[in-house]
Amino acid sequence: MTLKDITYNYLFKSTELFELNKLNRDVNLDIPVVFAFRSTCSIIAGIDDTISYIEKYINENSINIKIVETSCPGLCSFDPVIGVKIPGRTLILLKNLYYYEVFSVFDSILNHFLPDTKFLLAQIYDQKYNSWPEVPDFFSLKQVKIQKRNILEPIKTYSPISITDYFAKNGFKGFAKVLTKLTPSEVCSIIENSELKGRGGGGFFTGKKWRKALENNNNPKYFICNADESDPGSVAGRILIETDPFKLIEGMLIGAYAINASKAIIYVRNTYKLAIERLKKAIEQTKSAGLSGDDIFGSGINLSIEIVTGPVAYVCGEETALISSLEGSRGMPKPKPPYPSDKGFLEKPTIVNNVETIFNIPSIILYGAESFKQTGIKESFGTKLFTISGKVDYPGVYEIELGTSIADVLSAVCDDESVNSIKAVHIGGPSGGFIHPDKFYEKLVFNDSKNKSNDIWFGAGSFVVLNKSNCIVDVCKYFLDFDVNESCGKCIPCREGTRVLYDILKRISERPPTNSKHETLQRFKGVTQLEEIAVVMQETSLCGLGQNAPITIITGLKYFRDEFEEHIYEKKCDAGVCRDLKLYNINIDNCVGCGLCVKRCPADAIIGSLHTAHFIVQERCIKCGNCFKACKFNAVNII
Amino acid sequence: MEEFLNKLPTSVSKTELLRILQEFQDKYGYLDNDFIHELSKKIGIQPGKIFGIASFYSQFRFKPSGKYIVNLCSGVACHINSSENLINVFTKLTGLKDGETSADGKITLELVPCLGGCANSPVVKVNDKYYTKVTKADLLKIIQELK
Repeated sequence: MTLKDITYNYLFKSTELFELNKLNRDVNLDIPVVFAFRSTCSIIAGIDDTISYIEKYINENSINIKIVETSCPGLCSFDPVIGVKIPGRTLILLKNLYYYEVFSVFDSILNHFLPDTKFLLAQIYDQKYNSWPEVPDFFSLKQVKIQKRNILEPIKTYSPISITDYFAKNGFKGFAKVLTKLTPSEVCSIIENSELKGRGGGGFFTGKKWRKALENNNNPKYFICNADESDPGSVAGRILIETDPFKLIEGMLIGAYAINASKAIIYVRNTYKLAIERLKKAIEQTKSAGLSGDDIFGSGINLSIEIVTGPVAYVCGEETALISSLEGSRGMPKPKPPYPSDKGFLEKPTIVNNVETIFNIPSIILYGAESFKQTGIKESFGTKLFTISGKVDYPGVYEIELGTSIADVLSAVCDDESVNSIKAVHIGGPSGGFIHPDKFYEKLVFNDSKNKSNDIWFGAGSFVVLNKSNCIVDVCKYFLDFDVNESCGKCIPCREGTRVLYDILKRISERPPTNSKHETLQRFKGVTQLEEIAVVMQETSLCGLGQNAPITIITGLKYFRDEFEEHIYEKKCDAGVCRDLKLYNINIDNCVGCGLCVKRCPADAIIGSLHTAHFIVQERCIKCGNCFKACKFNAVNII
Repeated sequence: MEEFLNKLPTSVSKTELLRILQEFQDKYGYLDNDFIHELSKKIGIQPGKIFGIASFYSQFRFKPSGKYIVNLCSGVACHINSSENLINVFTKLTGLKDGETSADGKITLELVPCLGGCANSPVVKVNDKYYTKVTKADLLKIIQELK
């Protein structure tokens, strides 16, 4: 039987569950099975070395062990995570298993002994097997409990790049339903009823967008997946593609069908090597299974899927800019209207949807709009992926039900002590803003720009936690620096506005060269200008980049005005981040000339011979503070 | 280079342009000036236009890169875990700024917005090898190894 026949039988003939590849086949084997949770974040943490050492261990001891490569559960602080399933026992997950620990850990675990507790993450309870003593259940971990994993699986114990494994999870059933039972208009209606909103930052109703494109009779039409995720601090799209490339493909096939498009394009960021590799394999298998191509299973429908790798520009996350880039031009946005659903790629009706939005589609089609509306709260149904990073104990990618409060999320990703030291949360990357601890009771919901209910802007879902060692002015400056670099330069408010805002922040976070009145006035004027420029930019910029860039500043000024004022008036940064405000010098009276600071200085900025007082050359000093820490005689002062 | 140009189909639409540039860079490491001129003759787009399009994207290089490409992550998670210090130290020690290559052709510094290892920040990548939770001392060691 060819793959095409298998697919046909599974999708259109048998009403039974897919038996060919039972999901638990690896879990049920009578030899030990090792699950390697491999995706880009765990590769960075060193899982490839761990895997090669496991292979070495297997060879040296000549044991029969199967290694299954799958994708990570999103709990990045535990990377590299390795799952071990030995016959008769439950699947145990080991955390932070670096290559040099592999031999000792495997020696004990294969002999039914638990390794050191620092490696134990959790086990997945199953009544059929003996559980490991004193190892918590995976689903009782607080980092797992806070999540509602609808579009990602809690833990994936099968290969992400096998189409038959995806079948076993009801894969492509949604697409089969669409092909056999629904007209494009009905598909649009289901998505409209589900009130699914775009997950890429815009928050526009996906169904409405599709309907518009469907009603336009200008053929051919295009369905594009926006996987050009460039928000610093957000990797949700990448994790999704690496974990379940077939789900993205299924969602795209449904979307293309719904608008009568014959071509679907995935625009993926060039740097996502592993995601592209898995996606390519998945597209190939989809083709050989007959699910894409010409005349799919005799339905008369032609659909092709293609990958385009984007050469990296932040602004290409904006749909019209993405289309310009696909057309082979500079990725600059165009004024709307006309919307891409009327006139998009090559002047034809085009739908651009974010990866996460598309991931929601298959289950909405399969189980109906009402089942989707069971999660989340009114006007914000479903879940949203957040990439949680910064000063937290358990960073990672979390799928959170909308309507969950920020405080609940924080208590799950931090230990109790660190929760209290949180100064702010920055949600939404360059297009988001700060949340003050007083507002942590707020629920995570979509925020309409016209009907502003709170200050939460999801953006692409980055969630950065800041504590006392971070400076708000510095974070604002960081995001503006990013915006200055990434502004495409087409419209003036964004091009010049980001630059001016950045300059003002730079001025207040640096020590003025003189103490002249003019200088002081300029620094003071900065804050009033900040607010003015921010409002102009919001109202007059062409695309989301310029409109949302000042939100960081506006919320920063709203909640942390005192910190800005401290920088201006007292020339002080409490967090100690704005180094340029500081000045290091050596007190001649205390200095004994031991030379310790000279050794520690990475910039060769300290001069002076042994046993005579030293001197810091300010032009060379990078203000790292090493000399201050090194000096045992309190001779280094910070002004 | 001629071989590469000869392989291209006779008529190339503009939508293919970025893909061609990417393929060329993957093969030769950077976009050569002569190549852009030759390509322009072949596909009938002004060389200035091609240059303008390519320079918009941060992927494209116009000078050969060094033997080691050092990516310092300047993403937000790395930033709040003081990656800026690392950038300053690197610049002070090697004299290289973003996008520059050392005179001996060994090291190229490229700042990247996010490498994706936010849990292990700050992250430094040298060619294909990742270094996680990098401190100043680690960076000094990395630089010494490269030199």
